[in-house]
Amino acid sequence: MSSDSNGPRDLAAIEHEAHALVERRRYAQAEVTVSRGLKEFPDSTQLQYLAAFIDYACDRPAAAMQGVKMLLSQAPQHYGARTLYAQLLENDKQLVEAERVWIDLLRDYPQSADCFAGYGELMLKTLHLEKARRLAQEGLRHSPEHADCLYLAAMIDLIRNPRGARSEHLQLMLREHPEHVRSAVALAVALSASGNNRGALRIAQEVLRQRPNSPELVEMVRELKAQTHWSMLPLYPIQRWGWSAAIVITLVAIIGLRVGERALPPSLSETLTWIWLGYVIYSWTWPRLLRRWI
Amino acid sequence: MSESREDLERGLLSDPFNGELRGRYAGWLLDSSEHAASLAQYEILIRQSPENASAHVGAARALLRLGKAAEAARYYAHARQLSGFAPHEELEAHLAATARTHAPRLSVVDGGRSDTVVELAVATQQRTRFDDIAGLEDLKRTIRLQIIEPFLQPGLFAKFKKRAGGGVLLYGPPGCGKTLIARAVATECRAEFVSVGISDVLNLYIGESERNLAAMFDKARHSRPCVLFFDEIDALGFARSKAHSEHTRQIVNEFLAQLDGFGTDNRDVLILAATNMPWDVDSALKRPGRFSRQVFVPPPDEAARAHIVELKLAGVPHEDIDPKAIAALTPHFSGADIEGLVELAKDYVLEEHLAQHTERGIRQQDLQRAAQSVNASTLDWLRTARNLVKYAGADDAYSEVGRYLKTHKLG
Repeated sequence: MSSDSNGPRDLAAIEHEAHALVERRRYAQAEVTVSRGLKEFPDSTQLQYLAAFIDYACDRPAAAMQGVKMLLSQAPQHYGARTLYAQLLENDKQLVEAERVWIDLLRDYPQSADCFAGYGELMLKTLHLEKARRLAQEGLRHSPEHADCLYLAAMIDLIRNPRGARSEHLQLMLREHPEHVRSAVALAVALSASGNNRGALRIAQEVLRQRPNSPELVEMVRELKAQTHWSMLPLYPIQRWGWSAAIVITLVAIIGLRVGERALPPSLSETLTWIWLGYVIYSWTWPRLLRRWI
Repeated sequence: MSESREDLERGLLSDPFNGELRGRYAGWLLDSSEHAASLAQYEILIRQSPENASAHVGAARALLRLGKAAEAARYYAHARQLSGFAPHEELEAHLAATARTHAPRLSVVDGGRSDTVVELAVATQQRTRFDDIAGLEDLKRTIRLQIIEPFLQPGLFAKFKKRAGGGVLLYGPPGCGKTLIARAVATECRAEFVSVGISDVLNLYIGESERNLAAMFDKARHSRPCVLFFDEIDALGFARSKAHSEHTRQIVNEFLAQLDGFGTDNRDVLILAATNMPWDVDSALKRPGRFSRQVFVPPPDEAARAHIVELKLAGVPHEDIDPKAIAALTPHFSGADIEGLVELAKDYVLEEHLAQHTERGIRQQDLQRAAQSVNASTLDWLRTARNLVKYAGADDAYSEVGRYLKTHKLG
């Protein structure tokens, strides 16, 4: 508190302000605060990390990568910088290198659920489902209510059993983190997978209201809007039961048309064949066109 | 200096809200000629207890020793209005001297006809009026009806069971004049204007930010009628569901308590807020009785853009400019974008001047060329708003945005 310690106190205040601005996603203001802070405290690793993070959040991956590498050359053990480095590598499709960073992090922080979740999500992206599941489980063993681990586990449950089997992880996530965006997204995915597209749409729209600048959420809502459009009603069996429904419909149609050829007047049989062909063309083209128009 | 510095610092570390101890520490620093450090302590003390007269006097003493006489005088004048004020000899003497130097200054003006003694006009703070804002006539009419008249004629509106005061949230793309409108509202309401930004509130120490926020509300209540304006309210009232830290949530809780006015009275305090990210504002803040009225501030219309071009070119050498043509070339441009465009045109002219040594004013072609290089910064915002209106099935709060998007074929 003395004048000698004025510096550190000011640094703490600047870091606090920058953190608060980053949390509120006011990146332009945060950038000003961080650059002002770095002028006074060029050695502050926390400010350097925040500068790199702001670049990452503002979609400037090259600048973020440069910043994070510079920081890691000074402070190779900086936790935030290492996780950010892993994220940047993942986004840059350098998956092997990203995996190496996550493994290093897990070696240094063997009880960090964040690291298990981060590594697990990388494994999920590369479709190593069993490994992702085990990583999520291990993360949950250390931190049973960790939101990202629960999300990861719920997603794996849904991938393995898309027909709406009860996911305990999803239930736990909804119970423990009801306000978490990922809870809502996971629920929307689960509802959609179980055929309740309208419910999924309502939830996805609610999440989009909170984050209207998320392209992933916009895409999800567009897809669900297309799925629930009235003109998609004739495709309900295919939407609900997927390929098995398509195969059954095709078989029934072929058999029906064959029987119809013999049993019905030729004009009616021909009309039914055209209707069937129309349905096939419609089922292939209409959903794509609709998605584009919505 | 009976207590040692270490004792005082140790005491403050264990009890940082002990005002009496902090006062002693600040006094110790002042006596030890550590004026800047002392001022910092007095400022903390003022934030902790804004009604502490001795802290204001202490800050004034520190400022005086730092050579900031005007600021010192302001602190001391404020201290005089607080209970428990005790005059300070050095500051009294300084104020007396200042008063002498601030007496109306007289000068002899050589007008050519006769020597006349005139009083020089004291510079007054320029206040923005609605007439100073170009275009946006519909918006101004809405604000007059929804905000200004209920505030000026509460009796008339009370007959129709409409209340003055309460909160109004202005939202729209950045750089489109939300802050200017808030200032104009204060002027039209003939009220004091207190503007609060995130840096006025955020503080490192736990509980301090909430106290700062409460102090801002108190300040507004003491200066009623008053317009209390929160710029970028999404920073202070950030949605708690998205916040990671408990600190952020506590600020929102305090904000809600202050808006509801528990144990206090927010009558004659019009609370305005502006944001360009209304979706990040905590939904509890938008409920009735808080910021229930939400007004969309769109990018300036064509007439407004033409007027802004004229304003930005005033006093700058230019030749045969047709502002309407420039306005037509710049759809969705914000006021800030138009300023950027004029600045770019200036650069072109100066560049030419330096290269060819030919002096000329800004021409229509320069502005047209600049218009091709500058993009409307509002488009990003409008695209996001489109997601909200078109896909998210947004509620009535965004109906004005929906209408704007439809009118401008952006929906």
